[in-house]
Amino acid sequence: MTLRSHLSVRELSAGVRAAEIDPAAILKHARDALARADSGPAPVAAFLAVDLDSPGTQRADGPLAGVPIAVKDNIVTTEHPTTCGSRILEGYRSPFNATAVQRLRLAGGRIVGKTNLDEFGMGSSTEYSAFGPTRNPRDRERVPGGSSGGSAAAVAAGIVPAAIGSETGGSVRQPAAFCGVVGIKPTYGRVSRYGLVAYASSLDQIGVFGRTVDDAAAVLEVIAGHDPLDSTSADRPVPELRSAEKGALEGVVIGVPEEYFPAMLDDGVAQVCRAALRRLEGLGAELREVSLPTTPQAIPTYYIIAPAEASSNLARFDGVRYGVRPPGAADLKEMYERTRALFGPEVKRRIMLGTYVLSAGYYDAYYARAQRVRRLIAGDFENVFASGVDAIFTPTTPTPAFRFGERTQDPYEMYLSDVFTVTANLAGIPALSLPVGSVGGLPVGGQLMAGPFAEETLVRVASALEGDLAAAGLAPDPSAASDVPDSH
Amino acid sequence: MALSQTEVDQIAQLARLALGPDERDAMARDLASILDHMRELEILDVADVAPMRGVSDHAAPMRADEPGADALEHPIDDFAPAWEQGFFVVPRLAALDADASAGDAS
Repeated sequence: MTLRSHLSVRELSAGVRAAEIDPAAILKHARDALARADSGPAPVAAFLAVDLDSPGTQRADGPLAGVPIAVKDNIVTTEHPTTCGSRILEGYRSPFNATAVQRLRLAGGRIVGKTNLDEFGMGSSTEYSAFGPTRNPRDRERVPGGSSGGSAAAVAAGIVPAAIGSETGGSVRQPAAFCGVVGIKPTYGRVSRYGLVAYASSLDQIGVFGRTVDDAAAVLEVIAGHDPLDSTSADRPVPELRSAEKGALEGVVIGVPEEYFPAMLDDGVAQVCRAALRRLEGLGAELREVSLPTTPQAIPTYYIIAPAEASSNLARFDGVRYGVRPPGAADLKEMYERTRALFGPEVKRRIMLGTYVLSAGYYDAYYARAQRVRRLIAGDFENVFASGVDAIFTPTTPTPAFRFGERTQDPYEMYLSDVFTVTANLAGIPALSLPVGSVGGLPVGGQLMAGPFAEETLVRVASALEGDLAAAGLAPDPSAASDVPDSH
Repeated sequence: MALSQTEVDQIAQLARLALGPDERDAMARDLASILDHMRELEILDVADVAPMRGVSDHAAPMRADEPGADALEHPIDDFAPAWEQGFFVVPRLAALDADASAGDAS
């Protein structure tokens, strides 16, 4: 049986359901791509655990029948260990599946493995994984972004057509932009967080990666929806997330915030994003200048709120409830400390920062103030969407993928990678990154943000732009990373 | 702003983190640098702004106080490190052993 390369998620599953595609051929295709990705002196190393041999126990029908899907290793599965990229969870295996994983399996998706990440999702490059970094398949001397770098790389390398990851401040969109794939962060509450290891609970959300907008949307349709096991999950119907009809952007208003095109923005990124805006206009959309005035305060706000919540959430890794328990502690305090010594430097830094901003004497000056500024940031978006804007377009990141080691010396320099993405998490709105061009051979991501639960709008606008870029020969070459030939 | 070693030690103790000497120095430096950037928030007047604690537009829903289906895919004794007569077996802390020994001796 011949398996044409880069079939879409919907094509693959339709082929499997009609018995025209053998799931074993799909797995062989994935094995070949994995072998190419991990060949040579600089392997991509997207996975922490992978099984592309056994057929799996998922259903043979459903909207994702036979589709191989990678899962970020902070989302629990019973089939594989869950490490969160940390030594502290070495050997841990969950006795239950995350709701998102369960839904993928019920839809026929084949969970092929767990992908690398910055420890507990804290980082923007995967350099903070305890198990070594993942490399960007587009340029192996550069980071894939993070924290869901492994999931983005697995899709970019052609190993899987789609993957799931998680976002707290941009951990799906930023690696999607760096690796030249599509990433969607849904509205807070759209996807159940049950089984997602908590980092910052008021910000965390499971997201999806795909080679195309439609691939990502097809997976999001499956994992979205109310879940009684997560009290913050929204009880709202999930719309079909289908691509736009041709010319369907007539009447759509796209907001362009000046604060997302600052002087520090890489010239090449700015040019590519301006060109994408002209394409949206050419498709019939109306461009409108808008302002999100609290944007300069977003990074400090995020890096107070997220570490504060992390310092509380990660208290459970104490060697009693969770975490390896090294032997020989003289008392309970030493036992906690021996376990928590297994945290890496960035996790310790954020726990310390979070503990500091929550401590007596500093709570009002830092944490309470950040919560108030968060309301201003959310209010900025509410005002723009209330004025008739359907979606906002910005660059996803201020630069293309950076080199290893370039930002690990100064933690705040690394935090600035998230400058355009944290706002959507703080406001709880949906956002999407799609490849809109390249600079020096490196992909550039364009970001679309919409009002709460308007994922349909994001998919509609993004797929129209994606189609227009492809028609102009400007779409990223899906085989550029792995040079995938037709397989048999 | 500078952070004293005493402040770093106090925070580490609250966080149950034992930092080595090199880690303490680096932590003091990094935290001070990060907190300097946080001063950006001081330029906004937020006295009349209500804190935003989350983005959910609904309160946590009540549910019937009834046992639900067990979400575990495997029985508990399948993944517990040690299990005996329906109970988890946990290792005894060295300190408790020492206390027990002291009690025996007296």
